[in-house]
Amino acid sequence: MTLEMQTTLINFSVNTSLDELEMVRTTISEQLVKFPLTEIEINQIVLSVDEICANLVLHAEKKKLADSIEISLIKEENGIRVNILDHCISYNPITNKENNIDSLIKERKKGGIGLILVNRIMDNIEYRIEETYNICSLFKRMKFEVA
Amino acid sequence: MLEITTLRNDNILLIDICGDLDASSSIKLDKVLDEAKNNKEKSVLINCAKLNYISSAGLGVFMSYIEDYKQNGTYFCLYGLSEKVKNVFALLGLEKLIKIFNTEDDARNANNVN
Repeated sequence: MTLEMQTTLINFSVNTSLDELEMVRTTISEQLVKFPLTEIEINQIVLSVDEICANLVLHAEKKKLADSIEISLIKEENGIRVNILDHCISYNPITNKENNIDSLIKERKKGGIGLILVNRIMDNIEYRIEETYNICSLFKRMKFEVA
Repeated sequence: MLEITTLRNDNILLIDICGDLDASSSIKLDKVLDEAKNNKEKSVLINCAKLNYISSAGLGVFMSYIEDYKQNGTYFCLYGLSEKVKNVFALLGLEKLIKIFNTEDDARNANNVN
């Protein structure tokens, strides 16, 4: 993949607070509506970003870490990529094994399904721990009409 | 933003959800459904026509009451979901575990709730 094939649609930062999630969703949606995507496709990408950010926020709150999350939305030749970068203690969502829905219902659990949703929506999820930050990269294959 | 209003109509508790149900706001729904559980409501009908967005936090709240409502004999269903919201339920197969109808009439007729 060469750089010429990528276009950064937006790059923005939010505080690690659940109150910021609505703004994250609105910002991502506003960019995605410019493309010939269905409402369901847009909602699925927005949902995936929301889930990863919510996890980071909840994890940061648990560890009493106040920091920011940086989000980049990138259009690639074959799809949409979202990079979510944080400076908190590394928390790899991908290492969590997938929970069983029936067991969660029987146990009356409210959590444990966010990452199942992301796994079912996205075509590729990567998590990297760099020296000063962690990055979660989500990729969804999309067909864009030739202009 | 999320607004939840409840309306009692004889033996039916009608719950109207308006806005976004996410990790920040889902606690509001949890309180309403918990109260309905404690009151051992006969029927809980949830109008989702104005539910703009749902994340796993919102789904998780619905999921966590399935067993309790079943034990209490509470008829519990959702109606009026938009296609995008319905799709999020379908991603986890929840439409097979929670009754979902198109309209309030369908929701009432399915269990002879009047």
